[in-house]
Amino acid sequence: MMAAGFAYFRPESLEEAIMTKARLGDSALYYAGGTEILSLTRSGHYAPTAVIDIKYIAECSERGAKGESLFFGSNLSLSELADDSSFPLLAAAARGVADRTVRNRIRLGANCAGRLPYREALLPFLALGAIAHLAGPGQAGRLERRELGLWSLHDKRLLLGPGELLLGFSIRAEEAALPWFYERSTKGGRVDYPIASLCMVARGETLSAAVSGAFEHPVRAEAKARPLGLSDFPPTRSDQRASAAYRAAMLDLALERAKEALA
Amino acid sequence: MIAHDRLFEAELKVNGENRRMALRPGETLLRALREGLGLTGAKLGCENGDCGACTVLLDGTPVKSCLVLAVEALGREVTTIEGIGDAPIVAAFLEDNGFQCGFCTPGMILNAHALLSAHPEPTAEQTREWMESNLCRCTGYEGIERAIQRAASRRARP
Repeated sequence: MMAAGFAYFRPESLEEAIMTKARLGDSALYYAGGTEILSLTRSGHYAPTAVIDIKYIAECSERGAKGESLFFGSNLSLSELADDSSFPLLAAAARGVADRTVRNRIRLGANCAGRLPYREALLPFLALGAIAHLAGPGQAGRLERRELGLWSLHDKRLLLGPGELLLGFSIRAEEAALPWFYERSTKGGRVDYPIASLCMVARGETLSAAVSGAFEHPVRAEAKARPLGLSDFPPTRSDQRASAAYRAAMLDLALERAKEALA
Repeated sequence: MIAHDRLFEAELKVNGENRRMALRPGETLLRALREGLGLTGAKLGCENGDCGACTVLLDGTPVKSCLVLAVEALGREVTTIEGIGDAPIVAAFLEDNGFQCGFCTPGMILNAHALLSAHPEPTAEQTREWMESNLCRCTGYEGIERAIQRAASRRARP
């Protein structure tokens, strides 16, 4: 049961959402699928005074070709992405998160910008260096947009500005067809948080990878004309789920299989 | 823009009927159904999105109602176990002993019903992918899988 109540806002336009957030301040949260917000509010980790439901903002639900790019809106559910054959690596990564009924609710943007350390839907975009599309309150109360390469926007987490909203990611269309590898190891069954989740793409001689679960946050690494190994990543973490040595061993095995698959 | 910051009178469409109730904007759909409308088929299990006992359909899509705000269901169609008594999957669960204590059964049946609507002849992999959203802790999953296969074969029969 939710300890405290909060207000609910359902804006119909991007501008309305951004301005509502600017007016309500930090204690108001953008809300999409709600799985993380409701769980963490119930456990007392969040105490929002309001949620701003972005599911009805058309721009955040767009998907498909835009010029030479493929765009994936932040409001797409992980089930939609798992069933989408246009970007197979993203489909595989999305299918790994939670269970299908929960994936019906988890949104791409929330999974990538949330507080949990895993953020597995981010990994394909991080490996490729996708473009993040953002909107926030600019000078004189006007909506401002920006587009940034994910490698400069991501440092342990997405570096969103105050009140900024992630609209989605775009990749170059041909990158969706690059050779790829995905592996996710868990300690329990298939529906569990990852010990290590690895996404890797091969661009000619260059291998680009993004990993989560093994670290406190998603990490990316790149190697040219050689395979990626454990030494390309920071030390793995220990917690009640798995030791650092176990996580390192599982990641090492995944990297070995990626090397064989992408050779 | 829709905005609610306090208790308000809401109208939810549940099982084809418009139902009026007092609603707080922070109330989950699970609590609203059970405590506001007396529809206790959706069960309060883990209340954390893990067990699936609270599964209902929102515009035909299975969701865990403990992870949905009731206010999100405004203008949408909610289906609970009380609304699909005639569905073939219900009879199939009975015939194949797809339940024991029955606590997980409403969620199982609603998810299976949605699976069969999306995939009238689901593969074993599709069945596993959909049904792993729901946990059973007493009867096991074989009877549930048989019930889904039986309901699918009945739908496929001319």
